[in-house]
Amino acid sequence: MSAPLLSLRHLTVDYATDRGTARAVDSVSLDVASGETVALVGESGSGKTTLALSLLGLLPEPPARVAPESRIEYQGANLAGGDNASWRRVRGREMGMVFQDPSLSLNPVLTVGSQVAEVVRTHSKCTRREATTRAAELLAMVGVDSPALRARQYAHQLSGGLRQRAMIAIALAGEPKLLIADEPTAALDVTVQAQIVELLAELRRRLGMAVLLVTHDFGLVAQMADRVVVMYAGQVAEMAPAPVVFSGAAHPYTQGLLLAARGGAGSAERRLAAIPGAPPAATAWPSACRFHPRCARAWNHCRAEAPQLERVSEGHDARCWLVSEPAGETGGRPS
Amino acid sequence: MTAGAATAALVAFAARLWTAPRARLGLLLVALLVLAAAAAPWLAPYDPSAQLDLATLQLAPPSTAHPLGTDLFSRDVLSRLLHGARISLSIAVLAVLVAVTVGTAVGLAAGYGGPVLDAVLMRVVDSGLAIPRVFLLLMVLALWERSTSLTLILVLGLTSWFPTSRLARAEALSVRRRDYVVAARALGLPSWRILLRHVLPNIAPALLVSAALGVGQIVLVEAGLSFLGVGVQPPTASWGNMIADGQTHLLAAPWLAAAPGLALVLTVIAFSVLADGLQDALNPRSS
Amino acid sequence: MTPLIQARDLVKEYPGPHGLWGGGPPVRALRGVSVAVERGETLAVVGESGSGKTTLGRCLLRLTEPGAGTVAFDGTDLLALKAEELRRWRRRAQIVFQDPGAALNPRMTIGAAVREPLIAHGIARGSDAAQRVAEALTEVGLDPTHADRYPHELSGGQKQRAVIARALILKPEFLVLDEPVSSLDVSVAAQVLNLLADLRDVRGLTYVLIAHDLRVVRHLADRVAVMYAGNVVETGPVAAIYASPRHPYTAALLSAMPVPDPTARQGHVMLRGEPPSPVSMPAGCPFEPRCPHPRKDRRCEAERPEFREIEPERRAACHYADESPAVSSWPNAPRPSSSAPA
Repeated sequence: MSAPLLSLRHLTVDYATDRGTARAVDSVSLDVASGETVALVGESGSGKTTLALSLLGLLPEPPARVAPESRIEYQGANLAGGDNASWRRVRGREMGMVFQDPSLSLNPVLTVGSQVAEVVRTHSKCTRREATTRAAELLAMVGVDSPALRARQYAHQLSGGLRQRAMIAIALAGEPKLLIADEPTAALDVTVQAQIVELLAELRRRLGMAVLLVTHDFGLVAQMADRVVVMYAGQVAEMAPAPVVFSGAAHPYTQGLLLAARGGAGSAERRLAAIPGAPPAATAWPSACRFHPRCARAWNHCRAEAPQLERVSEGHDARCWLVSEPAGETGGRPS
Repeated sequence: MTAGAATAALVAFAARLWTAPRARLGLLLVALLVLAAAAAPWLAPYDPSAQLDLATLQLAPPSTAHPLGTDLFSRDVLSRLLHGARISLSIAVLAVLVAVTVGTAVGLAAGYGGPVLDAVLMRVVDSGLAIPRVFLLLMVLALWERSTSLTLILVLGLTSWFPTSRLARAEALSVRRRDYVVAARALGLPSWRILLRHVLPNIAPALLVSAALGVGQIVLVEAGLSFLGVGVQPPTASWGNMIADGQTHLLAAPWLAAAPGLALVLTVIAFSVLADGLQDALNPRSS
Repeated sequence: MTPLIQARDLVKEYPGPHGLWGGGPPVRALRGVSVAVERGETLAVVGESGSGKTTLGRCLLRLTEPGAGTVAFDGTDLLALKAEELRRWRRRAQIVFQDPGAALNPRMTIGAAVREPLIAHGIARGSDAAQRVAEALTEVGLDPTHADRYPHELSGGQKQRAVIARALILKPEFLVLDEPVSSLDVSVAAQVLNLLADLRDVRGLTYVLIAHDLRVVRHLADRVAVMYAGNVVETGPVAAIYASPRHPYTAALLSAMPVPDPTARQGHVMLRGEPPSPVSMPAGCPFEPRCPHPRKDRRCEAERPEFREIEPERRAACHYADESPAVSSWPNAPRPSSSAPA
C-alpha cells in the first residue's frame, strides 16, 4: 500500500481565550490517500474547521497554537511548525482550499479572472498574457459559461453558484493534489449545490485529486465521500469507509447524527430523533468520554475513563466503551 | 438621575472598562487628569489669582517653591495650571454633553424617522458642517457681550453637534435593519420604546468613542478661544489664556507657555487613548 | 370557513440599484402572490434565493408594506389598519427569525427580552410578569435561571428557544417561522423542530413555515407552496407534492435534496444555471430557461402559465402540469447551447 498523501499525527491546536485555554483539536491522527475523498464531519465546536485551517498554516498564531508534537505530513515531509516560506511552497501548489462563503472569500475590487491569474502566476513562471489565458481555461474547466467574459467581471456581478465555481478555479489554479473544501455548498441554493457536487465529482475523476471535505451535511457526505471521519469535541469519534458509516456506525454520536439527518424520511412518525443537549464548548470538555452527557447508552465506565480510538473492524475505528474493552472492568456494561 | 446614582453608574462603567486591558491606559490617564483637576483647590499650593510678590517674583523660573515658576503678575503657574485644568475640562465635558445630546437626538430622528425628516434634518446638518467652526464661534461670541462659562459651554456644544448627528444617523440606519429591531416592531412595541431600549444602547458605543475624542478636541478649541481673548476671561486661568500671556515672554520665560501647552497635548492624547480603549472594550462580546 | 390568513395578488418591488431617483430596473420580489392558510394549519413556503419567500412572510405580518394586493387576517384587512391598531394587532401574530443571535438584542438579558412585550402591551408587570416569563422559558425547554443571561452566553439552540418564548408570550394565534433551524446544528435543529411541533399541538397555532430544506418541511407542514422568482408555482398537500410534483421546478428541488444514503439514486433532475435575478424576468414562463419538462415548447417561452387547479387541492403554474412525468422519470435539463446560465 502506497504512502498516504497527507498524514496527520497527534495534531493538537490550542486557543487562548479569555475563559482560559481551549483545546480545539485534541491529538487527531488521520490519513488521506492520493485521489481519495475523505469527509470530515462534525457540528459546531467539533474542531473540524480549525483542523482544516491548520493544514495550510492559516490559523492566526496567537491566539491559536499548534502543539509541538503535532505532525502534518504532506508526502512524507512534516509541515507543522514550519516557517512562512515552507507553507507558501505548499499552499495552492500542493493543497488548495475552497471556503464556505464565496462572497466573503473573493476580493470585491479585483476581477474574477485576475484573481485566478494571480494564483497561476504565483505558482508557475509565465507572462501576464499566458496567465490570463490559463485563467479563462480554468474557469471553463469549472463550468463557468463564457469564461473570457466572466473573467473580466467582478464578484458582485456573478451569482452564488458562479462565485463558488470561481473559488474552485482559484483553488485549482496551482494544480494541487489535495483540495480542502470547507462547507463548499453551505451558502448555496440546493439546486446550485447539486451542480457544484457534480462539478467536484468530475474534477476528481479528471484530475485524480484527493479531497478533504469538511461538512456537517450527511447528504453531501453520501454523494461524495469514500471515507468518513466524525469529529466530536476536538477528537475523532469514529472513522470508517462511507458505506460502513451509513449502514453500521458504531459510535452513538454518529448514529444520532444520521438519525437526525434522515429525519422522518418516509416515516409516519412526526417526531424527529434528536440528540439531547448541545455540543460542548472547547473551554469545558466533559470529563472521561466527552459525549457521555448526551449519550442515551452511557454506562458507568463512560463517566469514569476516557475511551481511546480502537479498531472495530477493517478500516473502521471508534472511540467508545460500547465497542472497546476497558482495562479492569468496572461492571455494569450493558449487553 | 440623582448625583449619587450617576456617580455609581459611572464607577460601575469604569469598573467594566477596567477589565479590558486596552482600555486601562486611557482610563488611567484620564482618571489622573480628572482627579488633578477636581482636586485643584487642595493640590494647588497657592491661590491662582494671588499676586504673590510683584517686586521679586515676577517671571520667576521654576524653583522648589514654584515648580513651574511665576508669571508676569507673580502668580504661581502650577496653581494656575491646576485650576485651569478644572475650568478647561469641565467646559469641555459639559460642551460635549450638549453636543452629544443634541447630535444623538437629531441623528436618531433622521435615521429612524421617515425619509422626509431625514432629508430635512440632514440639510440642516450639512449647512452646519459647511460653516467653518472658528468663524461661527467668533461670530457668536462677538455678539455676546460677556462670555460666562455657561455661554461658552452652550456655544461650543451647539456648534459641535453636527458630526455627532451624522454618526448617530449612520448607526441608527444600520441598527434599524437588524433582526432584533424588526422583532421589536413585530412584537408591537411602540417606537419610543424601540428607540430607547433597542436602538440607543446599541449605538451608544460609537457615540461614546466619539464623545471621548470630542472632549480632547473641544479642550483645544476652548484653549484657542481663550487664547484669542474671547473664551475664558482673565483673571480666571485657562490654559488658552495662559498661553496667550506666555506668548509675549516666550524667550525670557518659556515655561509660561510651555506648561499649559504641554498640558493640552497630554490631555488630547489621554482622551484619544481612552477613545481607542473604549472602541475595543465596548463591543459586545462575540465568540 | 374563511381562512385565517388570506393574501391576494401581493406585489412588492424594491428600488433598483441606484435608488429612488437613480433609475435602474426595480427588483420585483413578489409578482402577484396569493396564499390562504386555514386556522390550525401549517403552510410551508419553499423556494431558493430570489423566490420572494422571506418577503412574503414579512408582508403577511405587514412588517414590510406590500406595493399592491391585500392581506386579510381573520377577516380584518391588515393593510387598512392604522398605526396604533396595527401595533395592538401584533399580539395575534408573531415571527421567529433565522438567526437567533441577530434576533436578540445583545444588550438585554433573555428575561428582559421576554418580559418586554408584556410590559409594552400593559398585560402584566412586576412579579406577575416575572412569573409569566419563568413559565414561558420552561415551556420552551429553558431553565428559568437563564433569564439573567445575555444572548452571547447561550448556545444557538438555547437562543432560538428564547426567541420562541418571546414570540409566544403574547399568546399569538399565528406564527411566521422564517428558516427557524437553518443556522442550527443538525442535532439541535431536530430538538427545536420537535418543540415547534409540540407547541403547535398544545396551543392550536397556525404556522407559515419558510424553508429551503424539504426535510424540515416534511416534518412540520400540512401543505406546501413552492415559490420561484416571485411567484407561487405549485401548492398542495405535503405527501402529494413529495410523491408526484406537478411543476418541474418542484421536481428539481425535490431531487436536489441531498439524501444521507449513498445507495440512493441522487439528483435525477439536474437543473442548469441559476434562479433568475429578480431584476430581469423573461417574458413567458419565468422557469422556461431552466425547465426540464419533456413537453416544453414555444408556448412556454411566449405565454406565462396561469396558476390553476390541476386536481382538487393541487394547483400549479405550468402549461403542461397534467402531463408531468412520474417522479423517477424526470429527465435532466438539456445543457444550454447559447443561453447563458445567468
